[in-house]
Amino acid sequence: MAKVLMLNYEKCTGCRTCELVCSVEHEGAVNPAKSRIKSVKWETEGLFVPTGCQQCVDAPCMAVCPVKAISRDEELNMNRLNHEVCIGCRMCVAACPFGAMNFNVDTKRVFKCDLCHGEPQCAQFCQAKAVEYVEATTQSEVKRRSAAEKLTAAIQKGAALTAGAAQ
Amino acid sequence: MSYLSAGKILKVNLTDRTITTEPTARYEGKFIGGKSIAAKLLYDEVVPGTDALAPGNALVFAAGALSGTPCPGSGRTYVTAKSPLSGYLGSSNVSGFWGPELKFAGYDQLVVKGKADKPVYIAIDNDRVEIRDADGIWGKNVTDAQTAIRKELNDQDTQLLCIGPAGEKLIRYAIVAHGIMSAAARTGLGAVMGSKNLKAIAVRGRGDLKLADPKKFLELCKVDRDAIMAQPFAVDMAEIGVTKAQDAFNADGQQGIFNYQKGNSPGNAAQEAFAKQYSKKSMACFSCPMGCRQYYTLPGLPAEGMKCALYSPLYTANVFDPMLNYEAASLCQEGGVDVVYISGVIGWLMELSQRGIITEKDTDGIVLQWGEAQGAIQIIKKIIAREGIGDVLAESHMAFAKKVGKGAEDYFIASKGLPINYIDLRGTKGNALAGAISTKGDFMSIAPLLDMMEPVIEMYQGEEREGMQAWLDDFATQVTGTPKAGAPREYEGKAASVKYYEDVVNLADTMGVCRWQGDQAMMPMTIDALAELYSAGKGMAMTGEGLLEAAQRGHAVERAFAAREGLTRDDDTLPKRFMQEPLPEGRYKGEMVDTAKLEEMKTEYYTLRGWDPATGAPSQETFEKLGLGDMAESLKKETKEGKTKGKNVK
Repeated sequence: MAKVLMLNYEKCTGCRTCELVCSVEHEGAVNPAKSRIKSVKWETEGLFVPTGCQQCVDAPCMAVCPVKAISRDEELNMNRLNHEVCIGCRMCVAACPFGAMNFNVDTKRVFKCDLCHGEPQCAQFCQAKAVEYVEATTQSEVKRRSAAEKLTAAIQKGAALTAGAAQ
Repeated sequence: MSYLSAGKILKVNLTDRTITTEPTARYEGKFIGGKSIAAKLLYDEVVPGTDALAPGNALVFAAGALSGTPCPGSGRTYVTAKSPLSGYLGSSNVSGFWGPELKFAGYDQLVVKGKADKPVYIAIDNDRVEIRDADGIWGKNVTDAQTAIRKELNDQDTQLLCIGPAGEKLIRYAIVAHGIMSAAARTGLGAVMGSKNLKAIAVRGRGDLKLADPKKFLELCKVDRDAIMAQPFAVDMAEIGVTKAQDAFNADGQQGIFNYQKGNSPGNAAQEAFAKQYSKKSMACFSCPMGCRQYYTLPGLPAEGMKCALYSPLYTANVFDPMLNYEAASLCQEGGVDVVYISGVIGWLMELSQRGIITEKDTDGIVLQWGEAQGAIQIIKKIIAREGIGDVLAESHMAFAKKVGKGAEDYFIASKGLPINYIDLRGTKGNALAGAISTKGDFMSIAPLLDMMEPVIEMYQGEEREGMQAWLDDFATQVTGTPKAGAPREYEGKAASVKYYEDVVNLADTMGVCRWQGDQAMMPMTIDALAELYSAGKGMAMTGEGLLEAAQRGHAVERAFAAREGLTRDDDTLPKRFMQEPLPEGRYKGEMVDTAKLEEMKTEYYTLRGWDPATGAPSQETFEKLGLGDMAESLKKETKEGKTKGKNVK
């Protein structure tokens, strides 16, 4: 089974390194406006939400493309964009529910996450581990355990409080 | 094709609303970027003797040479102007995201001069630079103002620098705030912004920042980031910020409590516990692998991203409750005044009250007592509102001292009019020298870490401790020629130590990289690491020495700027208390700074720098050695003009 990008807003510190390394990797220049991934931020609320292409199985971008420029890559578990075929109509940009399909005004081309051909730079550089590249099968397992840990901590805290009250 | 820099300097004159650009290349060769170019722009733009709050003062905002790249900690922005507080150099370095955004917009630096005929803000979106009315925004505190501007521009991702009510009201220690966690806080730059009727500067960039060798640049960044996160210090910073270190200063007797009449307060080291209990998460600046800010939402108080000085503005008044300190800090931050200045004023007023120099008649009836936060908080509110006593204090401590007389100014613990950054300098002679010679009057930004290693080493035992001591001795010798530079109480080697730390800080500010990830904090972004990154990004072979020399040029120009405004050797001094009263307790009990030895250290320092020991200004020979021969002549001529015109508030 292939890997997926796992995005965790609770861990994201909002440093935007993912945006920088993504643009350098794909464009040879730093430019967050051309990054495939973005930490969407509400600083006052302390909310930083990494967002990017979800590599949907039933992908709206693929469905809407009039020239079939987007195809499924089963090996990498992702949707691949073929620039040879793409006519630059931006229907995919309109259809994507995540804003993950972008348009480059300089090259007049759409662009999307290609998982850096299996070595996503965002995940490699994310020190906070808010972006991780994990086996698709383990994604929920990790989240489940993390949720259970929180619950356990709450139970222990509750037990301690009860014990304290009893004394 | 210009790599690594955006290529243009943006100039806005608010008086006639002209907007122009000029090529960065004009300055890049000699000054590289960031602080060093900013210093030269300031020197060239401000006519000597200009009133700091007059339209002729220039505000320079500078992104660094590496700002905007994946280089770790490359989010720093340097802000400089003539200071309305000291009358000399105003400068402060702000963390966050603004400088990088400026570069994506296509500019390396922004110079603002003149004065708008009514409140405005500048909105930059790549080539579109607008001067917009700030009618509905003027008067708002910093968070509300930023929210309102983002809404007005319909852009949640625009980066903002803005002033609060304090800057609008020309309070001479007003800050330029950024987001909820950062500010160019020291030397009164917010008042300069206010004097120009400029509420905020919004910037959004969507352009490429080109790298000569992107692949190599990324590889180097990865190595550097991993090296940083391999340091225990970095892991601590991500979890609890610098609270642990600040608690250590407190427990160690180096915290200026009772307005520096005492040094410590055992049992009151509560910051780490506070951070662990209440911090919601870690927040990072642009491209930072650590994230040393802690995000808090506390009941009834504004959300803040806290670090360093924000945790302890009331310590000088002997108030340690973290919640009350948070309340005071967020008042300052939202209203837009420098917490460190406020802490200095509060401690000072409490001591004046203790000594009977002032009474409730002088304080509008506010009761000032050690350990009582409420009086302090009322004073802060009065200052921000410029009401009664606050209106006088808003003009600096000297205005109030003149009003009350009785030698009140002697108890103000400051250097060049700027309160000392909470930490007592008597025990650590390198810090003391740094406090005296700092061009802007702030020891903390150039603090020699060599002076602070003793307590760290004592945390270890046996062989491990011996090993660390041997390493420290070696390192001190390598930097200064003597192991004594690593012994805090000694005077020997301190001039060389201060020069070294000042150099590496100037370099970090020139590159736009966080000082705490490089040599100042003994972290991996060393002089050579920065040179490697610069070389790969710029597409030229640059050495560490080459970068250091550029940083030294910027520093010499900055010092010349202050000298031109009348700064002399005599201004490089310390609060009398540090030279007359021994520290009564703590690690450095009995220590104070010997006046004659301070003068000796100063002479040694000036000599090492190549500055004239008589004046404290860079000598002609030094300027020539740095390739700035023309500066020597202009300085000599203009210093006279500056002095005779001198409208400085001292």
